[in-house]
Amino acid sequence: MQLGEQLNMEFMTLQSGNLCCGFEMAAVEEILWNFQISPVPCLPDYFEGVCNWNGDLIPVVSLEKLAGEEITPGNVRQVILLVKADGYECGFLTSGMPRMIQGQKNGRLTGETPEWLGKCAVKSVYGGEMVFYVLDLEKTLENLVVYR
Amino acid sequence: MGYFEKDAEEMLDVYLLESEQLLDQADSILLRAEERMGFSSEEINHIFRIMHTMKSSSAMMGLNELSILAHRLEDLFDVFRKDMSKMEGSEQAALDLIFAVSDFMKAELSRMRLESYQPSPVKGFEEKISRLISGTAPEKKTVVRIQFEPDCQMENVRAFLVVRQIMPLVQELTCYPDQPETNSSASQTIREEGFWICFQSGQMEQVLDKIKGALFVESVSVEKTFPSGKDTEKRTEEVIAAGGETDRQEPQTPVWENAESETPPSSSESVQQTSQFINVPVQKLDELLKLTGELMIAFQSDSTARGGSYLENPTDQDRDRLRQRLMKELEELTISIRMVPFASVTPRLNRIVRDICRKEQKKVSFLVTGQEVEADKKIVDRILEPLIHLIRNAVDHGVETPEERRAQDKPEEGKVVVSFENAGGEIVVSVSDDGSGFDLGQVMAKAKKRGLLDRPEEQYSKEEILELCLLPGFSTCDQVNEYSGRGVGLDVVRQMTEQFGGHLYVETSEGCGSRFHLHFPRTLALVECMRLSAGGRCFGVPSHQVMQFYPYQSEQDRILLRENGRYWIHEERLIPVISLRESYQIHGDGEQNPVMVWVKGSSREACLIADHIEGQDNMVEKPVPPLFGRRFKQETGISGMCLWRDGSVCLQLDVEDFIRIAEERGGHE
Repeated sequence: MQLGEQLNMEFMTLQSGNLCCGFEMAAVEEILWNFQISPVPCLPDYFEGVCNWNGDLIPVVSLEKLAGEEITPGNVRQVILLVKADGYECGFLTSGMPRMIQGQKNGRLTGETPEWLGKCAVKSVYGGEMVFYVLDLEKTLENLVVYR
Repeated sequence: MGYFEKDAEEMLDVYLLESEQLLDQADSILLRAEERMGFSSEEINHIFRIMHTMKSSSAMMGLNELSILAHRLEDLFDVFRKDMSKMEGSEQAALDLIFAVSDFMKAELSRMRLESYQPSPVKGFEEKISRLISGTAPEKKTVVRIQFEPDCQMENVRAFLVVRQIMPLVQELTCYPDQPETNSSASQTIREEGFWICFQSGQMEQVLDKIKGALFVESVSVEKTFPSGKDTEKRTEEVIAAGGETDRQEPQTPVWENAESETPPSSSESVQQTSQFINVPVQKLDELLKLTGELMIAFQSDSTARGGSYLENPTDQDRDRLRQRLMKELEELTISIRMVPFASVTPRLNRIVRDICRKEQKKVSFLVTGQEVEADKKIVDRILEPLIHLIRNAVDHGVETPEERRAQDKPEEGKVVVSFENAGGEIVVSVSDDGSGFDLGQVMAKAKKRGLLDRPEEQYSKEEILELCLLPGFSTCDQVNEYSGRGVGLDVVRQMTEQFGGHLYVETSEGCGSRFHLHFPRTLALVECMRLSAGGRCFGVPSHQVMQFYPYQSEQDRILLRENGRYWIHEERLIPVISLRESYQIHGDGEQNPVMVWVKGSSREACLIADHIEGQDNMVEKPVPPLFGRRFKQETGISGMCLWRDGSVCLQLDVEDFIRIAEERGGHE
């Protein structure tokens, strides 16, 4: 990808504890505010359950637990960001408010970037207004598959 | 997609659907023609039109080889149309060739969605069709019987050497006894009955000279018939079709067929590709449109919901009732759109039976009843494979040879019947034959040999013995042939049936025949479930698997505690008791008065302990999200999820897997 293209990319960012995660807009399907999550047993603890969206059952994961962040007691998880990548759909639940950020206002940071944040694969890190980690959704979702 | 241009790729689904339907039509015509050994003029015209359509649509898709092949068949039927006498004397060979072309085309269609697809050459078929058109009779098969000199020893090796010598001169070859080079007992058979070879060749004289000149050959005679028997199969077709490799477990057989042969896998072997399309009567779509319109009106404000067929002054209750009625009708109509009749699989079943009977040299009358019965498209699409397995078993293992049947005072022609029935919300598909039935003694002996018995033989009921036949790898047949004997078929049938929430039952009567019943739910969209709650979670069990339910307290006297868990004593059986809370580690205060629900799967039963029974309802089952993994059901016992009215999710239990997991964990309550 050319630098110009990178700068023109838009990201949806979600705050997760002290961490800010960015999702490429092309992968974002929906932001859910009013939702009901039904727990499903026999899944890792970062799976909150499933929620209904347009008749489909979407698995929901806690972004904080996934990224290895501590959940502040009393924080109300209030938004689910629905993404789709590599044939998998998933909702990321968090207490933070989503924000859309343009790449050109934030420079892509070079240097050593972590490959993984907890169970989230990192594609790149952007700085500027705020530092956020752009998640590699294909790798992240593939990594989340439970019973192969 | 690999081979196709972008424009053609967009049309691929429609092309495949249309071509598959056309080839099925062609097969039906060919089967009818084969019974009469001739085509009517209408049938010739019909096949001509089919090939004409295939020619042009294949050309449009860039499939030049298929287009050429369709064109050559057009030429062939054009010749028949003008002069039917061209077919005289070679009707069977001509029909066999046309069937082979049809199989080849179907095999090509089945591969077209693959990324790696490349069209197969059709030169061999073109040449054979040209010979037929030119009036040159297709090379007939010749049967010779070879007698070796007495006491020459190692007759099997001698026979193998003869075959090796004539291989370069023949196109096809079958021999009896088969595989003499690896079968040491073949020597005895050869000594007593001679060594038989059936071959096709354009150099007959040279072949006979070679045979006569082989070492220790005493005499060679040309015969009219070839001995029938299970060890005379021709395996080379699979070897060539698989590119020279097979995944069979038996030792690699030598390739005894001309490597340029294009013999494709027969219709019995080809994997069924399910179509993404469905034929819907226009009338249903009109109704759908009408209902949608009525719903829009019904949901509009009060001022518009007047006049016509509506009430003059509708109350809120009236409007609710109307909306509910319309929603219910819409739901039923949408489900009915997915329903297709079983008639779509019948042409293929006819073809399968025809192919198997020809190869096994058995006479079978095949009947299909209830084709008009409808079921969910998914079930109809997938039912072909289990039916193929059952029909193969019926013809191969069940129905005896004509000689054996005559010896038992049975009609020479065996009978295989496939019936489709609508039985109150369930579809019952039965496959029955009037053959030899299961030899229960042989089943027990085989099971004992494989160490499958966990108690004395005499304690097994007939049903339990028949269950053994459904185990993977179980077969009473000592020989494996093209169609059966590997112990895979019945296990696959059971798995596929259970995949759709169905059951498989077997009935048999030794000497009279067997009957297999496959029970399926009529629709996959809606499932009738009993909803149970445990620790605030909702679980659904298919209603037809719920036997009875009791207050747990009332059954305490019949609960037996053992090392590996608790059991309920019922009808002199110990039925495991499994708590939903414990199985799924749902914490919290337990219910004071739990219920015990006796459930029965196709092979397992248990009593589930739940907090409450919430009710019995029809629910729409959704598949498990892909992120949970392919093995989610096998690892958790949860087969799917249903949306409930309040937006919550009810977890659908697969009774068999749930009980199995609990037993493996030793986690009875």
